[in-house]
Amino acid sequence: MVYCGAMQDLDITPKMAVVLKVFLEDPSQSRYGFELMKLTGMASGSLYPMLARLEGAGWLTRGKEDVDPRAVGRPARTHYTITGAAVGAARIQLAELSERYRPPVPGRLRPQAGPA
Amino acid sequence: MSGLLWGIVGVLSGFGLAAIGDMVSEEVRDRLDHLPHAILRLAGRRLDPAKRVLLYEEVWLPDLAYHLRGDEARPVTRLYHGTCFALGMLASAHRSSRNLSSATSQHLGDATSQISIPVLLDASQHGHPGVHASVNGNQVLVTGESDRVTWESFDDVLLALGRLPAPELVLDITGMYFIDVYSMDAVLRFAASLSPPRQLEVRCRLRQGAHLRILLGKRSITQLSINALDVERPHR
Repeated sequence: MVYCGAMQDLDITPKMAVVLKVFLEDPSQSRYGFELMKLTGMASGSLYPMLARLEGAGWLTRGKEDVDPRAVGRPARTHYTITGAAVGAARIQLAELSERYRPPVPGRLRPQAGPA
Repeated sequence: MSGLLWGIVGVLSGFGLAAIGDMVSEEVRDRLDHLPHAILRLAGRRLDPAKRVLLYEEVWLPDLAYHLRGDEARPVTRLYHGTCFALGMLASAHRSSRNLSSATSQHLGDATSQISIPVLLDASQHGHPGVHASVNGNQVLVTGESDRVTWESFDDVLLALGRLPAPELVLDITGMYFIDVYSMDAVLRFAASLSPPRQLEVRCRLRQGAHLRILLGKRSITQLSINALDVERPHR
C-alpha cells in the first residue's frame, strides 16, 4: 500500500485558526513564513513553531522556492501548502471554534414596549 | 602666524576626526549587520541536532536572508526587523524543535507501517535508488543516493573504507545525488570510530559540507577533515 499522507488530529488554538484561515483562502497556494507573518500579524516566535507543529502533524507540506540562489543572492526559501486531507479537517475545526466563540444571541432584540 | 598654524592644525584635525568617524561608523554598521545572523545561529544551536538542517538551514536562514534583502535600503529597519525575527526564533527554538520532533516521530511511526517502498518507487517512475562505490587506492568514490532504502549499502561502503590498509582514508561523496541526515551522521560516527593516527578526509559539495558541520555541532572529531568543494550537484 502506498502511503497517502497520514494526518494527526490537532487541537486548534485561536492563533492556529488565524494561520489556517490564510491557507484556506486558497488551498492550492503556497505560503512563505514571512508572508504569513505579514498576513497574520504574528511574531516569528509564535508563527514558526506553529508551522513546525502543523507540518509535523501532516497538515502542511513544504517545498522549495523556485529561484537560483546565485542569481537572487540569497538561499531559496521554504514554502508551505496545506494538504488535501487537512483542508476538510481545518474547515470543520474552524467552524467548531467559531461556534465556541460565538456570543449568545440575546433573548430580545428590541426593548419591550412599556407604558408611555 | 601662530593663529594660522592653529587654524591649519584645526582643519587637519577636523578631517582626521571625520575620517575616523566614518571608519568607526562603517565598522559599527558592519558588525550590527551580523547581529541578526549571530542571534539566529545561537537559536540554531538550541535545536535538536537532527532538526537543525530541517529548521535552521532550510527555513530560518533563508527567511532571515529574505527579510534583510527586502529592507536593504534602510539599515535601521533592516537591523530592527532582522533582530526581532532572530530573537523570536531564539525564544521559540525549543518549541519548534519539540513540535516537529514529537509530531514527526509519531507521524512517521504511523506512516511507516503503511509504506511499501518498492510500490512507492514504482509509482514515482524514478527508478530505484542505489549506492555505488568504487575504490581507488585509499579513496572510495560514492555515487547514487543514500536514504532509508539504501542505508545498509551506504554502511557497507563505510565498513569497506575502514578495511582499507591506508592511514589516510578519503571518502568522496561529491558525486552523490542525495545523502540523508542519517547517512551523514553515519559518516561522522565512522570517522569518530577510527583509531588515531588514522584520518578520514570527506570530500563533499559545499552544501553537504555545511550539513556535516551542522551535524557535527560542538563535537570535535580529530580524525575527521571536511573538504567542501564548489562542484555542481550531479544529475540523477
